[in-house]
Amino acid sequence: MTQVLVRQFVVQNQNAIGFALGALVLLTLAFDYFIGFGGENLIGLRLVYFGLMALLVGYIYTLSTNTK
Amino acid sequence: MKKSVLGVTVAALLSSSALAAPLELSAGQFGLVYQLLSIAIACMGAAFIFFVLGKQNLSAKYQPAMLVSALVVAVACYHYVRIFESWKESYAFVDGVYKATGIPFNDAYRYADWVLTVPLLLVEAVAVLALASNIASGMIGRLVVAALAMIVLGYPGEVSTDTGTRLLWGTLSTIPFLYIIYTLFVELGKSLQSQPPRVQLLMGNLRLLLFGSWGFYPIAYLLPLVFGALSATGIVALQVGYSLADIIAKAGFGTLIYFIALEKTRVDNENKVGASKLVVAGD
Repeated sequence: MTQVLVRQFVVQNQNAIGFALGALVLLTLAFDYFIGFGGENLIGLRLVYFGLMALLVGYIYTLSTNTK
Repeated sequence: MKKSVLGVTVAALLSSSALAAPLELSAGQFGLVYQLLSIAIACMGAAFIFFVLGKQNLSAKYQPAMLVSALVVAVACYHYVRIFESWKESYAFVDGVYKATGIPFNDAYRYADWVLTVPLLLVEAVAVLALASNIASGMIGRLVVAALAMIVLGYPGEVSTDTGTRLLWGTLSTIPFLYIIYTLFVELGKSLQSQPPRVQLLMGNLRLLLFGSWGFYPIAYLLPLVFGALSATGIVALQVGYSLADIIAKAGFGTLIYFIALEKTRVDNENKVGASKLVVAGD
């Protein structure tokens, strides 16, 4: 049920969510430039990127597998 | 105290950012990397503007793929700015050559980038085709898992200066890469038959571009082993190789995605007009 509601919400607000995700990525870059995520070999940044990647893949997956 | 100094030294040796420290580069070698990094920044920046503006020409169904393309090049542009800044700080022109300043060259951004961009590039290639829900679902899942496996397995080799370790992890990360190639060429190939002819052609080009540019990464990865990890030629070859592959794999890839989405939008619109004419004729 929750899955259906989330899917419905994503599909109905496709542009707004896309814009929010884009803004989140750009904010991450700004944070990294001015403050930095720290860690050897940019491991902090890599972990944040992993989270962003999961969100973006989830967004594309939801829209690509929408049958309605 | 001794232990902590030793720890720092080992960490520095393991870090890819320490690779360029003891080098001396000729003006030509330094300039070649400097120019290519500048070109990469310009290409990624221009591609970002093009994808953001181009998104308006596509129907809503294909816009998310274009958004992802724009984000991929935006992230790459930022990383190239950081790599470029680091390159300039790492060398100073002294007595006709560029000598290391002691500030380590930090190109770890190049590798950090892949965690975000590699799965996204694969997902957008499937998304832009607007395949049947069950096919898209399975393919996206498998491609993302394979992309993550490729990146995770490549990491120990990336941070190591030992030839054996680099070769071992480099080889292991090639296995998921081959699976990705198989999925794109064989499985995605089957789904392409239902696509318009021009989309089939563009998708064929996209797969070749992906194979060619991603196939170049393992070659660039091994270049320091051929020329010597701490040699000037090895470092320059690595930077040149990766920069060229990145421009093709991100800006070039996104451009092809745009043209596929544009063609799909055109075909969808034609089908809509055709369907509405039939309804009018039926009335």
